[in-house]
Amino acid sequence: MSEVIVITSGKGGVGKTTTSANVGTALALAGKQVVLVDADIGLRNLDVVMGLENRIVYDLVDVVEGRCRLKQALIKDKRFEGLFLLPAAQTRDKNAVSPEQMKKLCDSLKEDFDYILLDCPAGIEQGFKNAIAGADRALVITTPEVSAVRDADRIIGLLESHGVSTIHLIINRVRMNMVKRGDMMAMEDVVEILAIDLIGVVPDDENIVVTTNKGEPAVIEGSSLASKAFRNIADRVQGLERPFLDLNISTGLVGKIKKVFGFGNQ
Amino acid sequence: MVQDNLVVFKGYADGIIVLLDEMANFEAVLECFKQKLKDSERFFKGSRVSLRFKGRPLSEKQQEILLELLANQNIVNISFVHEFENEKEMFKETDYLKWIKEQIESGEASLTHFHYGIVRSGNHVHASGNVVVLGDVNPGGLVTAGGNILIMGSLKGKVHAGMDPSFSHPFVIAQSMQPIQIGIASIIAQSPQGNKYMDIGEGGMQMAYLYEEEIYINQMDTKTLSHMLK
Repeated sequence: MSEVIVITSGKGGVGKTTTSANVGTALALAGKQVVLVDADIGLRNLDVVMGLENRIVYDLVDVVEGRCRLKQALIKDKRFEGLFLLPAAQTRDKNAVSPEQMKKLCDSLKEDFDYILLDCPAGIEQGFKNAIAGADRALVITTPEVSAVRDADRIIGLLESHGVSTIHLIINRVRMNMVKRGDMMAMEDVVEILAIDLIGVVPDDENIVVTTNKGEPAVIEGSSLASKAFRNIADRVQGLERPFLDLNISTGLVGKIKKVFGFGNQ
Repeated sequence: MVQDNLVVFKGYADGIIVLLDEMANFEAVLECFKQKLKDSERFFKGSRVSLRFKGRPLSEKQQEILLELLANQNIVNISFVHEFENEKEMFKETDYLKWIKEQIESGEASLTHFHYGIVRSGNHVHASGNVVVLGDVNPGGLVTAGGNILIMGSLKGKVHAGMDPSFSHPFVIAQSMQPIQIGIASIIAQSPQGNKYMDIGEGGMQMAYLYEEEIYINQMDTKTLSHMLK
């Protein structure tokens, strides 16, 4: 059974595109047929994060307006079996597409793919309405910041009123050392406010910046904690049980020494 | 052109009555209903209503068309649709309705709106009577009422009770009282600067009320109640 999953947050810059790229890639690595749809028309960058920018000929708007067939616009990622990208148009804006057209597009993608991941633009305007029109479920991304949580709350309300009832939460960029010092919202606080099921916690990781700039999803080499977190999310999206990662791994010499002496969890 | 008097929305005790014109043809009535729904999108936003269709007998086919129309729209959040009634009379004088009538005539009636679930950022729940929220009020959420407000959860957003000046002793009760701003009648208070929320005590219901033009927040007990009613 194929599913359309919208990845959304309300607030910008919390990691929608990075999450789309990594979860999508991890699903493809698990042997699924996956298409990443960039719904951020006019401000596309999923193609950049995926390193597929130079291969774009046709885009989503071309498909919707009938200038090309759907198959022509899909870019196959040669690194992974079963991973495709449908890029957004860069020269147009969100009003170039209507929610009905998006729904139709999702329905035709469902015929060929197991998972259709929609990278939603920030905000709650036309672009958001387009992105959620065809969605079966949603992954709401937030960071442990008051402003991001507030926007996520608004987004959840809007998703519910638009009939998207399966909503899961991803908390991104968690810095455990700050949480422990009480300088950052704890995961429990975020979940308590938003009152939806948590599907993943991703630690703040420099490695993500590096891989994003290189145009390679972090899950490829997969030694970092963040890439493990993304792979776990992909597994949970498929309905598999995965325990949450222990993010309390201390790094550096002091941490290691503490660990030796059994103070690791202080 | 769509005639706009073919369909009339009427609020009643626990929902909305949709009065359909008896004479016009069904298609025209349907068009008008769609239009009215669209026009009142803002009015319905975020609230759950139950619908009751009245005014004209409907064939089974027509009932199906109506239900399908309701199923395919996302303007009104419908909690449930009453069985289609084909008799013309507006109200059946049930005991319940009779009681409500008596109450209203007595001048001591107070109607209460129940909101099921969380009031999230950007949501606004309002009723001319009292409001009961079965869930939290998150930061950015707003609850306003002509009368009292009861939050069966954490209050972290904004509330304003007693907007109807004729309402005596308006109050706000919440399981956990941490509002960003709280208003009772004409008085508005905000959480103290620095201290992010006005967090008062642990456990137990808390109550905000007006006493000599100032808002007091206290643990809810008989002492507080008698202070409020003074």
